[in-house]
Amino acid sequence: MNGEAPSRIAWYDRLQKIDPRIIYLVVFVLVSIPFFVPIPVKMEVSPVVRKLYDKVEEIAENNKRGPEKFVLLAMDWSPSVKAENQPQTAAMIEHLFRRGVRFAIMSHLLPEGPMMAERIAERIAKKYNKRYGVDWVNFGFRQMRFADYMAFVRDMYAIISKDYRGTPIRDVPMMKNIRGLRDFALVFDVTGSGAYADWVYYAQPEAHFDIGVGVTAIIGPSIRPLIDAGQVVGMMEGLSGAAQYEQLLNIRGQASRGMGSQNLAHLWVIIALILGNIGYLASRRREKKLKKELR
Amino acid sequence: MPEPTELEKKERISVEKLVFLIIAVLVVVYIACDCIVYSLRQGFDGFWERLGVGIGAICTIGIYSFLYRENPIYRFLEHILVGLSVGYGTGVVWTEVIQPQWLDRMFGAEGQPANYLWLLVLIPGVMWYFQLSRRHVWISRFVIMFFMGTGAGGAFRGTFQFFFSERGQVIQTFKPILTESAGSLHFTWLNFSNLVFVVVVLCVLSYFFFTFRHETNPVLRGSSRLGRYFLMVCFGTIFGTTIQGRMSLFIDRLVFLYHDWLGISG
Repeated sequence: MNGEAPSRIAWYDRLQKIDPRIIYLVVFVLVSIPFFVPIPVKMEVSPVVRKLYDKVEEIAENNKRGPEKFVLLAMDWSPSVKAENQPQTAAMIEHLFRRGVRFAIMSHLLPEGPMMAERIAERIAKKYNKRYGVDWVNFGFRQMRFADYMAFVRDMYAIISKDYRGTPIRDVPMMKNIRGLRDFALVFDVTGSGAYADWVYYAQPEAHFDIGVGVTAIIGPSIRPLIDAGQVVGMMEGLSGAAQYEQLLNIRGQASRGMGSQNLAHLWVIIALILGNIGYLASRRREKKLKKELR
Repeated sequence: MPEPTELEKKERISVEKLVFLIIAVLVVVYIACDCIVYSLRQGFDGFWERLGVGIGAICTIGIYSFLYRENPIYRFLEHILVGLSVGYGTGVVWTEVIQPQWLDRMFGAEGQPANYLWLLVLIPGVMWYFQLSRRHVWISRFVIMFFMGTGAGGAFRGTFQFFFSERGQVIQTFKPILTESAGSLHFTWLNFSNLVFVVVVLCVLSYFFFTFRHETNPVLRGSSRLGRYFLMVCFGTIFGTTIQGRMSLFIDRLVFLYHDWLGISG
């Protein structure tokens, strides 16, 4: 100790130098609260989610009148994006089972996707009394390049010989009416990357099916131009997209339960941003004042 | 803020060690009790399941300890994760690609006849590895040329469709500013939206237009400045969604800790 009084730090400097660990601690506390005290969150369903929902409804209605069309669930996600992609997958499978639209699961990018989707489908299938091979099938993982998509459109048996469980796909009852991608009305790609683009680039021009996507929030903004142009029919964007879809289905699933935490965390981010900016503006003002005084 | 003295640093480190020790003992005791309780209820299956969940919890807490400070536990778990990813990736390439797509077809599997012509695929495959030799790198260039050629050819059609088909990005950029109905032109809310869209597209494009100097051309200067602001709004949106995504990941981990591991939330 040299006897000098400790220098006081101005409040605006303090605001800009908050220990990040305090910010993380507040995030942890806020995100934890809804786990013990549920916070009801009312959400507006965005048009892009509504469009996707309506597309599935349209397929279900058309199947009653005309030749049956199927839905392909492209599960191009892995555990690293499970938080967002799993509720999206669950919401879509719930809708398809509820409306009796038969679907196939596959991935052209990641082997974990079909494995995780299989678990989700099995769980929801019990609720609706649906049977594997009759109401849904899992093609598993099949790495595909651009030429494969073109073959997949015309004759998918050339690309996939066995399903995820090792059964030759010609022996799967549901495959009786499926020849290629032209028998599918919708490809729903769930991904945390740009995997959906392969369907848009290579397969859609050949088969003219619709494409829907379930993507992580980060990918969402890059899909908007494709929706505007009609290349993608609709989207579930991040956890909130899945929660909105759950709202349309009138269920309270994993996404809806997480929205309370999500909202509180966002609120804290906004408060932290405002505090930081107030500190910055105040310190700039102080600097200007000091410069003036020095002149 | 004054720098902490050596004594203060030592005191803080000893407090941190004590806190770490208490947390570690609590976690290990909880996992042990959890495993014992489940093994009594469900036998060995329950024991292994709960042990897996417990290890998952330790990994989650260990990785998040980085938020406090870089530490050996975090680094150890990070290396485990990287090692597991590489090992898993190698296994997947073998079981999902090399074996079913090549070996089984070549040697014949499950009653299928063997086709040794698949052996020829090995030649371009091996050619890639000549990249590692300075003297023989030219051999690898043939296979690179082939892949680039086929890739570009295949991608060209898709790219053209993506931008110039009926629903293509470029074609869909042409939007009506006025709507014609009953022989007269109207300016509706949709037209206003289209006008904003076109203005934003032109301003952003002008920002990347370097044929003329922006400083000497007042129109280009104004539009490129606007374009920069529009780009900033776009990047801000993307950054916002990034935070949203990261929070979702954190929520998922808390679901695991509270629900799957501790079983204390609904």
